[in-house]
Amino acid sequence: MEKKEQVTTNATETILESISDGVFTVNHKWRITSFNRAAEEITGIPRKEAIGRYCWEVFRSNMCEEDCALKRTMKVGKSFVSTSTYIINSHKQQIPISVSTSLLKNEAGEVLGGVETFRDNSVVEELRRELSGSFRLGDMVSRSKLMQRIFALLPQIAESYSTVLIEGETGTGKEVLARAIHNLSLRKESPFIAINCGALPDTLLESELFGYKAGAFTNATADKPGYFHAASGGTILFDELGETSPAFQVKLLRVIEEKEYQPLGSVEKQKADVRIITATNRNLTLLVEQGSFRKDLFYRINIVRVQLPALRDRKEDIPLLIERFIAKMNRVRGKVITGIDDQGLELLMQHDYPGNIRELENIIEHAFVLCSQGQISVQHLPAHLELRPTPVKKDCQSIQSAVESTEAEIIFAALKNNGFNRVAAAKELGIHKSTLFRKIKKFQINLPEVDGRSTLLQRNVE
Amino acid sequence: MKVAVTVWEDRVSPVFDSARNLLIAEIENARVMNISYQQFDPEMVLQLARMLRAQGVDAIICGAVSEGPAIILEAAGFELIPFIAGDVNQVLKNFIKEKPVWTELIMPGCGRNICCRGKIRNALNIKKNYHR
Repeated sequence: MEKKEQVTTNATETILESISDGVFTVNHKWRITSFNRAAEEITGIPRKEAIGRYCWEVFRSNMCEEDCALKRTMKVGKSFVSTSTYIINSHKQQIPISVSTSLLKNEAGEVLGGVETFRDNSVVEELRRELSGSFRLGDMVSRSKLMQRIFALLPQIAESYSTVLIEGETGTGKEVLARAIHNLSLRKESPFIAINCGALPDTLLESELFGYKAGAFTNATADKPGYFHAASGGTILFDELGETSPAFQVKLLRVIEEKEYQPLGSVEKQKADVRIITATNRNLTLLVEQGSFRKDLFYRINIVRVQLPALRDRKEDIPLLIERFIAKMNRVRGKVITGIDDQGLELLMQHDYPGNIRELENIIEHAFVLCSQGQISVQHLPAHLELRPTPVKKDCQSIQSAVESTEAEIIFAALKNNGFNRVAAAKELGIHKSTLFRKIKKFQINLPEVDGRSTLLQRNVE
Repeated sequence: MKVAVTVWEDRVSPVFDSARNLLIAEIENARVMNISYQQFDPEMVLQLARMLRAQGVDAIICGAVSEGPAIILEAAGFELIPFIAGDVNQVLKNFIKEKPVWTELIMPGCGRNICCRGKIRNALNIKKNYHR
């Protein structure tokens, strides 16, 4: 009998050693009790170092601290399958993985601890990126023709050493574009540093950029290398360049022209082997005309100019971006949100996004707070997003269509004023409730599920 | 001098990228004089760097950290001591020693100072200057 048990144990060990999924087990004190070969390969940690350590010291996933799948399993006694997350290996690299957890029981059914299996998704992620490459570049996704044109130009821009000027409204992804240029360039192995010029006063900006020597000013007790030194061989993004003072602009111009800079307090110049990308949400041409931006610097940075479109001009990208943000937040928050329902998507498609992609991302983050699982729907979205009447067909510019369009808008406004209570809205409009119902149907006005007879709108939970 | 440690309850937070809480210890004459706690957003690393600089923090001790935030924090002039695990008090006790030995507190797989080569040595130099 004992021999048979030994054979079974050996067979289990052989199986565990031969599979390509990482497997480890923990006891009730969260100490690792076994660690298979694939786990060693994926994490880069030898078994002998892993055994006996706390699982979070070995596994190092972004879920460990707040939303540990294994902890949930141990708490509720339920298995969790294929949760997407990432771990950080000893080389500071993020490895995308999917995790499954279950209880570890002996033959008598007694719980000994937990089992975690994980799969390295690096290759899958890479393939996915390749497959969707036609509308993906770096961290950017787009199906819009405006963006496709930029995507087509980007490899050539990246290959050149020219200074790039990125223009676009706030939240359009200027930093993401700059990072994509860096990642496509030969400088990709060197650092990319983004600096928000608007966030720092001039003097601080200068010492941050160029660094300083000991004794350059009070409290400068030691030499400090600046961002130019840190980004050596790489790329620096100057975001919100339009906010800088003319004095700083002169200094930047000199660095761009001479490819040298002088740390504060130093008498020697240092080589600046850095590619400069600038970005702004202001109209630099206008600032030059007004005299608040130096003309010489403008001409020096305006060699390659990329204009990022606002999200309202590329609404076809909204579903793609939503999908991407949901996947990202599932990974970060350790949730399993499956997507967004049709009504929710319609509401998001109607919005104008003055804050552009950043605003959309924040909306999805808001939804993640309220939605624990399944699909995001209207009640999970911020209350300021409003259902608007479906626009009446505008292809026929007749007086009739204009009247209908206005009528639909007035009806919607009245409904909104009255908390979507149809009877109250009809009273305000001075029409009978059945006339109102008929018009709502005729103009295909979208109404929330809550009809206003009940209390407040559910989605005003904010 | 001041040191910031990303913390999770009474331990060093396992992953900087998802940590939320920061312990800031003020060290004087090789003794911890004052401890305060702060929350932060690991995705806003530049903002964190500015906040720590304003408070006069010199070194940051954390668990596993990915390359992006590590580069920014080092470029901002902080001595980053990454891939550290264990009880915060023990970590601080070790940090205030004139010649700290981190072997016992380094995360598995990071032996021979692979993950934090040079950084610990640099932090030691800062302290040496301070002790003088």
